[in-house]
Amino acid sequence: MSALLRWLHRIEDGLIVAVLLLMVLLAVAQIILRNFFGTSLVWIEPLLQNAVLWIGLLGAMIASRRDEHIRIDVASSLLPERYHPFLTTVVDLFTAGICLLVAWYSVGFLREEYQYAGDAFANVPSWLLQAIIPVGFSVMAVRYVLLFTMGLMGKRPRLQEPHA
Amino acid sequence: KISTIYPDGTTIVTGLKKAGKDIAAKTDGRVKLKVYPGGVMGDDRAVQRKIRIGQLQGQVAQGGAFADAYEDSQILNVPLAFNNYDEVDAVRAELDPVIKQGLEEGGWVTFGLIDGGFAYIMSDKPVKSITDLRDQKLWLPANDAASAQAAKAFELSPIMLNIGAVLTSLQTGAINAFAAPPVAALTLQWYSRVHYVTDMPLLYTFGLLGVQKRYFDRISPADQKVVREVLENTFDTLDAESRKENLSAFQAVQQQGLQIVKPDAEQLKEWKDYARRATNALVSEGQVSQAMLDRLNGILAKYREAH
Amino acid sequence: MITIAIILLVLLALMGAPLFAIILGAAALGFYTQQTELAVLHIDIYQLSNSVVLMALPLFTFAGFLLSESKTADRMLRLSQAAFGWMPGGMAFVSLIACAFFTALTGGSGVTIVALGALLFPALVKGQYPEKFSLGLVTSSGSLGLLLVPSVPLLIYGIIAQQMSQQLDMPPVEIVDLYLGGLVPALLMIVLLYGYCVWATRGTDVPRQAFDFRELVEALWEARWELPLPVVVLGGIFSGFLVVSEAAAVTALYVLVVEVFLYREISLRKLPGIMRESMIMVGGILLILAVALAFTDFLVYAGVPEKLFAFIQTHVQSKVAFLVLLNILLLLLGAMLDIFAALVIMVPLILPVALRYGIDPVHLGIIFVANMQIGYITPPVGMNLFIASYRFKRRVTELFASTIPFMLVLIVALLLITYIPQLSLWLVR
Ligand code: NA
Ligand code: NA
Repeated sequence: MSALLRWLHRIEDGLIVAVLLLMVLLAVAQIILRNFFGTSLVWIEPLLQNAVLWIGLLGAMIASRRDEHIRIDVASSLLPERYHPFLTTVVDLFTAGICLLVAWYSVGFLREEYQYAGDAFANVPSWLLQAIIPVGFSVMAVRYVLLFTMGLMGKRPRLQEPHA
Repeated sequence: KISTIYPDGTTIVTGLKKAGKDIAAKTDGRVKLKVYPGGVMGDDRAVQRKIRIGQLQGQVAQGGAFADAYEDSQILNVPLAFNNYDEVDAVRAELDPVIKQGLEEGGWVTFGLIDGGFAYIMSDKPVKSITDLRDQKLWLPANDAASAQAAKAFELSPIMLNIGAVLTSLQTGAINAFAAPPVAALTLQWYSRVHYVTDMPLLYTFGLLGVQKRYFDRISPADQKVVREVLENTFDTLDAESRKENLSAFQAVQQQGLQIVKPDAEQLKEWKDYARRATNALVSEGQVSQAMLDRLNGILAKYREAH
Repeated sequence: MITIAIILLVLLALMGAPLFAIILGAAALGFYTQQTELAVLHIDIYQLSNSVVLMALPLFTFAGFLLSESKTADRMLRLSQAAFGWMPGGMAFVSLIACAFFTALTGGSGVTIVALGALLFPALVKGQYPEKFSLGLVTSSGSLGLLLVPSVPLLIYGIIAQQMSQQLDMPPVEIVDLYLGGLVPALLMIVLLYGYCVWATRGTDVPRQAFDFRELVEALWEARWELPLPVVVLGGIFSGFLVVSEAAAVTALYVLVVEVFLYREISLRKLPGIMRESMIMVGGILLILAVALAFTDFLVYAGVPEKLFAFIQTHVQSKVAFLVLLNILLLLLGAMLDIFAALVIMVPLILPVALRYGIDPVHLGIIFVANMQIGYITPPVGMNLFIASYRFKRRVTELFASTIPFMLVLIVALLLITYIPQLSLWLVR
């Protein structure tokens, strides 16, 4: 199980770094092409725009590992610490459920997109670009289920503000 | 529930809203038409996805948006096919019903075409020949396979941008030429950044309302008849009004200071040669059928002979 | 039934559920009441890939992380001290300028206090500024550049406004216009805060640093690779050579080359880690933005903005009254919400209503972000208070008390910005 998780972590980390690098390089390449060669490559623009989606979901997946998402979180500062496990248990279950809901409908939609819609651009099928959405939400759902079980065992990381 | 990128307050949206009221009155409220104007529901592709899941039932869009359902619906978009609006009208009189039928078989109920006007090249420097155009930084819409293909056939190296980035890019000189109907150039303010318009009807454009058939079939046959009647009348009126607007917009861009340039006979021939090549490419890629193209050329030949 | 579900969502939000899950829940509930298949959530989230400017967010954030991981803050502090240290209240002015620039360069991602606070606070205390004053100054300056190019909150406002712009009868909202519009209000804030600093320290004997030309030249030389950066960004955008997303790409590549290969303060081995960390933060923001698109879609689909406007119009007649209401609402929201959350939830609701009161969308954007900037230092959710509390090991209440006078000054600035639209618009319209 933990070996599988480590694998997943490595893939996520590798992908997000690769997508960011690709984004910087392609965008700069496009600027050079346009301003110095007066032309542009058709597939760069849509690829960059889809890269934003991928970075967003990959980043969100990674942030879910330790539940580092933006939250309002009033209760945990008002209630004493011993009530916190109750809060996290309820909240984790809810978050997992919502992620699962999106993943479910997303998969359903994608199956249709696979049948009906063609290529988004330059032979890249539209469903492939969108596949990150169900994958991302499924992974997040799994992570919040894990957080939920860790919470039941009293091993869950504490609620925290992100990037503070 | 139908979506359109035409903004609220335009002739088309106002006309549709009025049609909606008429339909509701005539069907005792059994059929209602709700219009989401101005592209609030997203671009063409997002809207088609929403139609697929049933959030929306139809859309008013450029003809090309329905090409998946019936490829020959693009027959009117063949580059440099027409010399003037009279030729367009002659062709449309015969082909409009064919397009309507084809789309209906492809799953879209339509109610008539709305004139979108000819797209003209507008540019910073005068463009008379293809070489002139190749020297300009020409904008083409991103994510649009048809125009990318046309550019390839004309041996152009265009700059692909989303429609929203065009005005800024014109201001900054990242692009300095585009092809668009004068109405679009006026409403989107693009005209203010170019100096010349090439008096050559590059491409005919049209819009239409498509309601997906499986949703349309849910209303009773009697109500369907009412809806068709009202909307077909509406679209007849809208078509005529749009034509008027397109004609006056061509005058308006000139009044705004755009200078007209005209290719000479030899240059025009070169344009037509390339256009033929582009058209052939359309046929060989299966975008338009040879039979339909022959039919178009047949009508045009007959018309030109008579006039 | 629906009411119970809404109450449950609010409860879950207060209990600390991730904001994205709450907004998704609200959107799903909304679409469910409209009998729309929930696959629409997928379609709306995919709209994230449909923006021409959104690419700027990851790129600017990445550049900001690189800058805060290297010694940029030290160089900037030394340079501003050499340039402005001789002025009355010199060190305070230095803090304001350095913070504003650093926040602007890092896109307002909250790293200013982390990177600069640790340098500024001791320097201020050493310069014999009162401790409480110094704490307040550093904590409240940590978001001072939010109205300056290439501010990420302004960018996000612009993205949302652009998405709505076609539907509404409004002047176009260019990101460049927002950045131009933010310039004078940001300067106004700096000037007012500086004025307060001079006034507050009038009795105390704060020593000034003598102006040393040699030191200035050396500081300039030390920062030689970073100094061209504002020129690249500003020049690129305002000359029109680059669109905003491209300016972000150039910035990211430039900062990468400068910090890794010229200053050599970030090793190649550390680079993937920094990229990853910055993108986690971006992922969090993008996810919220994506689900907010779904929520906005529901609002428009259900015709909520029209209903809201009709409701407000029956109670609020004049533009001034509306603006008063808006400021109060936004200050309250800023106190409770994170800035990104506040933007994505409120802009789609408020923008159409504000337009009907004749408020310019660029002006509205500036009002929005200026309000949110104050929200950074108001409890219960004030990012600057949290970060300063980590950084200086002080209690949040103590920090808040120290920022109150600065907050009052910022509120004066906010009122001026709100009721004198020309401050935001004279460079734009
Ligand atoms: Na706050
Ligand atoms: Na806040």
